[in-house]
Amino acid sequence: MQVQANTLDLRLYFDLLVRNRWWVLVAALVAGVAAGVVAYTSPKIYEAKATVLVEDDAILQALTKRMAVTPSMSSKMQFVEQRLLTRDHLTQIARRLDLDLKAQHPKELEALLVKMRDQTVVRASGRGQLIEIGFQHNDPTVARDVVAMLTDMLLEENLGSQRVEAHQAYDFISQQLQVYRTRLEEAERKLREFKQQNLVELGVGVAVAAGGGEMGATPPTAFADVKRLEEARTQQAALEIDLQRLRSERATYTKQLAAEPKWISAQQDHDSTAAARSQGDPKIAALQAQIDELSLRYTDRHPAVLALQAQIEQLRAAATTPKAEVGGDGAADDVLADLGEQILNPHYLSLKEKVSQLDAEFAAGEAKQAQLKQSIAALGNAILDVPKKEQELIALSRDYSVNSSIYNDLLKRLEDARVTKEMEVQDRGGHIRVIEPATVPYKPVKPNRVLILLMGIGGGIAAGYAFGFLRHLMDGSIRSADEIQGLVGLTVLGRIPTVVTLGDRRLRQRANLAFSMVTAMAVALFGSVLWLEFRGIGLYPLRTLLGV
Amino acid sequence: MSKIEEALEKATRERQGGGHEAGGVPQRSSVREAHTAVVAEVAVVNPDPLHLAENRVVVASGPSLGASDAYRQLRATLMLAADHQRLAFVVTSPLQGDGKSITTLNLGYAIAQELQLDAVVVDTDLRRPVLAKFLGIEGQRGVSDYLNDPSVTLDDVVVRLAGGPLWVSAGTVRLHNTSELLGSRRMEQFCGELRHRFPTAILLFDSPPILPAPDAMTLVQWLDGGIIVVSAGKTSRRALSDAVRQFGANRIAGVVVNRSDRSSYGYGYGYRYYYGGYGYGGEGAPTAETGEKDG
Repeated sequence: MQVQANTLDLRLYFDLLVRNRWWVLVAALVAGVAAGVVAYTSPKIYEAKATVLVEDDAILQALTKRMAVTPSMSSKMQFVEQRLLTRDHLTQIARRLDLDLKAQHPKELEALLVKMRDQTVVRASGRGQLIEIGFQHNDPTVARDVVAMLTDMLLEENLGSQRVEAHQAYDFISQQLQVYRTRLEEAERKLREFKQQNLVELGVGVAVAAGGGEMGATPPTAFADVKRLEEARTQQAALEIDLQRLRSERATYTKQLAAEPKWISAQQDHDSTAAARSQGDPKIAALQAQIDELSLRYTDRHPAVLALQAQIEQLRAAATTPKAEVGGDGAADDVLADLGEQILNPHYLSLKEKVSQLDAEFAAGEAKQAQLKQSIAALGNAILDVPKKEQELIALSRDYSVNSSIYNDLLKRLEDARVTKEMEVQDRGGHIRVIEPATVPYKPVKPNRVLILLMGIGGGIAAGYAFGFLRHLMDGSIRSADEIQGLVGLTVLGRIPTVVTLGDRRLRQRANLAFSMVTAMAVALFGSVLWLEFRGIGLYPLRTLLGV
Repeated sequence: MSKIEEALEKATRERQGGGHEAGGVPQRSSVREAHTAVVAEVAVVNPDPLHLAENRVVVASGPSLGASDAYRQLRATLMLAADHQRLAFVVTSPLQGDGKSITTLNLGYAIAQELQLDAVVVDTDLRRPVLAKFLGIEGQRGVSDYLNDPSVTLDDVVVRLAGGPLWVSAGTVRLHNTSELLGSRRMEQFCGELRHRFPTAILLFDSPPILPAPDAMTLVQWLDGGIIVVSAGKTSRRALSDAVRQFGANRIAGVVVNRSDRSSYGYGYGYRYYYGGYGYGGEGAPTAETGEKDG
């Protein structure tokens, strides 16, 4: 059904064309002739053009290198157009070529400049970076001159602008360099201060972290602290054991001391000190032996040594002095007793000495333990504090590193810019070159006669057909027998097809012949004109024939 | 015998007041003899087939083209629609140029030749009489003469066409006060006389178009109904509607669509209803035709 409907539609359109073929033909003829008149009476417009090369890798790119913007072809053309079509340039050209002779008032001059701008064409030419600059005018020589002047102006403008650009770039980079230097110094200062403040916590790790410490990795400083903490704890444990030992030793000695008598009788000691007595006074010898023993460990000013020395002195004094003369106080009594019946137990003394020695060691151990405890607490705090500090340090280091990198980059580019500037100064940087200079055009670009003719003919055909179609749409006639029933409610008795008589056939043949002839004439007329135009001959033969 | 013919026979009997007498259907030949005797005095003309063909009277002249077949179909449908009661029709159209005169002539020929039924075609388009011209029988007297001159009789204005039971009244005199004349007693008398003398005939009155003139409406009062002819692609819907409203839908037997092949797309390039294989010979006379001839 769809196919059938489409076929019907096509048939309708075809029948409409056939039915309105005269309208179509006449409209095409009239429009074609009118188009021909327009095409051959319009003034000829010539376009002169020059091709210039705008290089990418010259200044523009040097300046925008590694930046987000890359100059596209259209932006380049815009650049050229803006540089070129300034009011100043156009006025200069108009003056030099006397185009402004007719422009008496400023308004007319303004109109002339607008027109010139419209007549100028800047477009991409083929591939790559070539740009065409064209100018349209009814005088080919003028067109050529304008383009030549435009290209000259572009070149001059470009050289100047390049220099300015190079200087501007250098200045800009220098300025930026200053800014980044300040920033870098600031970062440096901050880092340094931080390191100084946190030298203890961060230890040697600072140097490593500053050299590019990474987040997440435990810094060496923290390791050192942990190690020290561990050592302190080990020391503490060892100390504890020592203290324990000292405590038990002291208890043992104290016990022995309690059991040992302070004084022993001389007799008791006789056997043991017989040798000493044989060499003089045995007591003195014994005391002297004790002193010798003690002096191995203590100085002469030790109380025990002093006490022994005092005893020896007393004994010597007693040997030379009668007993009755000796002493009057308690201590002298003891000595007298010793000298009489009893003497100080050397073993007792030795034990007592050991106990006091142990006491001293214990006191020293306790003091050390306290110190270790303090140290462990401090180290623990320091270890907890280390990651925070490290993070701070990394941030500061990063700031420093980024600024430093930018600064170095700028330094390099400043150097580039300096070189570029030098090149521009020496005229070596030119990024616009004339590839093809303007010449006098011999063939007009307007009017495009072929196009105008074809458009006229095509438009005529379309208009004729449209007229027929419109008539068909507006036609309120009965189109089918079927609609009569619905329209007036009457029966259709019969449908009689068109009766074509011999006369009708002859008439139709004549009409067809006439149509064919007119069509053939039209085709011949337009065809030959188009052919001549295609061949670039135009109406020259006709003009020659008519002597026009 | 076809149903149509049975019906026609029945109608004939009723008109003759015979009713259903014993012995069944009266023979067609006896009826024919009766009215042929009545109109024996009228002249006989023999139109030129070529002239007829050029004037699109295809049923009479040419081979069995699609158009001829279409007219025969029209005749059959009309007979059914007429319901054996309405035998006198005014053939008209909404506007000039829809083809009513050609349709009238072709229909008359179709009736006379196919069914051997009497058919009378009267040109009552007194403003622009064209039937005589189409038939090539100019110079005959017609209804205008009958209406204007009381001494003129029916026999004076009717001719028989050679080759079939087809009578024609086709004058060439043009009149202006046609509406009054067509509504006059004289016209009533004319119609009555025709009915009387051609009791079994189908009477077809070619009349002016409905919208420009009241003639068709005036005329239909003496007749049994109207046939409207329209031309596809030409007659506007509005004209048809207006014409039907003006004429009275109840008095219209039906519509004939001319140029139906150009109804949708314009020019017709063929005969859609053409079957081929049978047709007429020359001289406008029925030759090899179907059994309908014998009824």
